[in-house]
Amino acid sequence: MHDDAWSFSQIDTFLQKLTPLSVWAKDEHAKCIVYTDRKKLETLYDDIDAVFASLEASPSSIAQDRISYHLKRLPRIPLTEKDTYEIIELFQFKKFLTNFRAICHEITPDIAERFALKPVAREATALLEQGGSDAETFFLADSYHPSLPEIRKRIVIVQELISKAKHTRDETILEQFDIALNEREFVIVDTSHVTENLTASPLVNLEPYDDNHFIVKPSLNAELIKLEQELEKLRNQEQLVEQEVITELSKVINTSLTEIHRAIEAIIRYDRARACALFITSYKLTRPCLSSNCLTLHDGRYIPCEEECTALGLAYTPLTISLQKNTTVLFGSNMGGKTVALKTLLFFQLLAQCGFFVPARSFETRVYKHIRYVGELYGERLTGLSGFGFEIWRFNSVWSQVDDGLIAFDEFARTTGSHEAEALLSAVVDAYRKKPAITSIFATHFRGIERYTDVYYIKMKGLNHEQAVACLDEHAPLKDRLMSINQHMCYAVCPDTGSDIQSDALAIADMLGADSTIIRAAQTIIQKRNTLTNENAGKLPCASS
Amino acid sequence: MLDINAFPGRVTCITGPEKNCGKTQFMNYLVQKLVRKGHAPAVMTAGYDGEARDLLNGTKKPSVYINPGTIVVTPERFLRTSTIFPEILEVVPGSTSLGNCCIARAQRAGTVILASGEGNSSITWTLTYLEENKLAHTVLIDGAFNRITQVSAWHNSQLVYVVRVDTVNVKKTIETLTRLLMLLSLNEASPELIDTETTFTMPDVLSLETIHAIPERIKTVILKDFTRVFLPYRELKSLLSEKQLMVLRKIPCAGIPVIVRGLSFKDFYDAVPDLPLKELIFSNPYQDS
Repeated sequence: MHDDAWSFSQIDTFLQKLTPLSVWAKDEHAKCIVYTDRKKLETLYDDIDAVFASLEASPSSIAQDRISYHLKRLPRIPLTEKDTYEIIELFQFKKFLTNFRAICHEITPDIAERFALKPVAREATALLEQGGSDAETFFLADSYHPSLPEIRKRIVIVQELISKAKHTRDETILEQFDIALNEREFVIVDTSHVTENLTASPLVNLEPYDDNHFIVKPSLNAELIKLEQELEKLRNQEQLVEQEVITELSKVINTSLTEIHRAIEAIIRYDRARACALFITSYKLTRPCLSSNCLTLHDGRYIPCEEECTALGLAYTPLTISLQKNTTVLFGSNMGGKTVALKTLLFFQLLAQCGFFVPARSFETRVYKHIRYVGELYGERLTGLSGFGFEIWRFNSVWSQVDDGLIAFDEFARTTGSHEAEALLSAVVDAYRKKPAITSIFATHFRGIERYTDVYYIKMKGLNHEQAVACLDEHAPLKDRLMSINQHMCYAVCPDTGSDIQSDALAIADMLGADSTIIRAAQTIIQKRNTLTNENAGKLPCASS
Repeated sequence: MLDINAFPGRVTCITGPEKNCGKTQFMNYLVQKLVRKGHAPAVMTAGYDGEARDLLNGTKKPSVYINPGTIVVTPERFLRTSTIFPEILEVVPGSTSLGNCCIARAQRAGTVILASGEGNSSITWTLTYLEENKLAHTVLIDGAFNRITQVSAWHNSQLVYVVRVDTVNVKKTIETLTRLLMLLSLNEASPELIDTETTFTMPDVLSLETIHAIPERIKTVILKDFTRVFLPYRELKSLLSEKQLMVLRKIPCAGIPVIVRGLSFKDFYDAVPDLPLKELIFSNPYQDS
């Protein structure tokens, strides 16, 4: 439903940082649920607030390390009832209950209360704890059944008797035939060793190996056969008793399954909230306000872009924007930051509706049923459609599907002629301004679209031409030119009155090293057109003389 | 001659060129030798679907004899049917066609069938777990046949290569061992040699397909380790006559046990070319000379 906006906003890169630690919460996180229930969202925010407050109140890193450790160690367990679980599943239940209990032990009482993080399935836990040399290992201990100790003791005795009998037999073979088994199950000997006595001996079985060798295997004598039979019988008895034990343990676990499921739900809630709470300070996250009909963002940091700028040594400007009306048009030249502004808005709205805090001084919005994007997505193609066909296809799907939502349009109709594009865009803006349940924002560089009274017109402030020209180095490599553009581009948003016709495009083309002859020719054409339409000539500096 | 002191503290991958060449039998022998010396090795296998099918069809697979305290890695179904009274320590992530694999400690002497899923990633996970939790510092891996790449999955690993020879396959086996000795003898490349004018570092394996990527002018080809060489014997010999082959990491070989049948070990040994490391070849430990 929100796939296009999700992909465009690149929210995944930030959500990865908020990945919880337990497998259960990770599964939930991976679902990328966008909630449309405000009450649910406020509860998720309250959870984060509660965990954060708890972290601030008792900042013991040892306790937090332990919680992290135990969260990671929670295993998957069967969620449906079984008559008999496998031993490996009993092990998993024990490991889950042990680690869950350890988490309950480390957290503060208020968090335990809020998230219902209290030890569960005490009877099952106590029983499972009997099996294993430590808290997380498991075996079917003697204590599970009165007959197990005796059976197992006898097994060990019989094994020792077998071992002794074999040793005695092997010693006799060595003594009589000079064949040293040295605890091997068989030995291959030269034919010269195979005497009549050896062939006739009941101590060994002989098998031809090749033309010159025989395999000598010590045989089972009466004593060994008897002991092996007893061992087999004891082993069968042991297995039967173990099966009884497993059935009993399974019954106890089944009676606790509901509690265990609740424990898993509690962990999912807590772990998700904790994952976000841990980043509140480092990423300066704030709680979104969901009661505003006017989407307002103060110093919103679009993290994917911020981090990219840091890596490139460029400055990043947080976005402050307020959509005063339900329909907004955002003007701006190429490289002016329009697309990033749209990404930022969708990023924040999605993050808020996923139940997380956001990296901004403040973010006020409401809950939308749909969050959509109309524009180009990287690598996208639809067979049989031109670029314009694809744009219309995408628009049609949003137009028909969205009755309540936030929709961002990036350079709509850019793939067709500018005259028709401006007309089409104007008509779409007009249509959406009449839909109060939809908040729409159109980023465009088309200056000739219609202006309506109840549409909010804003623009990216753009390039400081004088400063940019003053600093231009004609021989600088591309990377330096890009840095220069960045340094002199203002990425802030301001109202657009419609009277400012200065274009940054030619200046940017010039800064990127386009042929100066072409730039001057373009400037001349613009001046002619402006003269023809009685508009003021733009101040278009010539960077190269 | 087998040097038992070469095994403690290392991960040893026991592999061979074909099925039923005696790997598990040799592992049984090695386990008992190590136990008698006071070591408690962990035992596992690097399985392959072919072996899994055998197990599912009921074709008999040799069991491994385990002493109390030995760490075993195998699917839970085989722990259940074993006599070793296992204590489950952990479950290896991912499941196999035989179910989930467990890391368990034997509480009693007995036998157990070893199996596992495919893939080096689960071996690496298991070895990391054993190391981090100090469960065993000596590990024996009964490798899938002809999966020599498994030995490179771990930083501290070595190889034992088991071969079975009879009058029918003697020529082929000599060729196999000659090839192996050539690869084991490859020198380690020092850092200065990497990416120079006359050296070329293979990005992946060296095979009949990728050999053409080596520029003519190159004198020395460098690979990650010898397990990356998939060239047959003749092509390898031809390459070595023109260029030098080096490795970034040498993987030691602790021994090449040869199980002869229908011919004498001495005759076979004498027929193998006198290459470096030929002394790694030794006779079947189950055969008295």
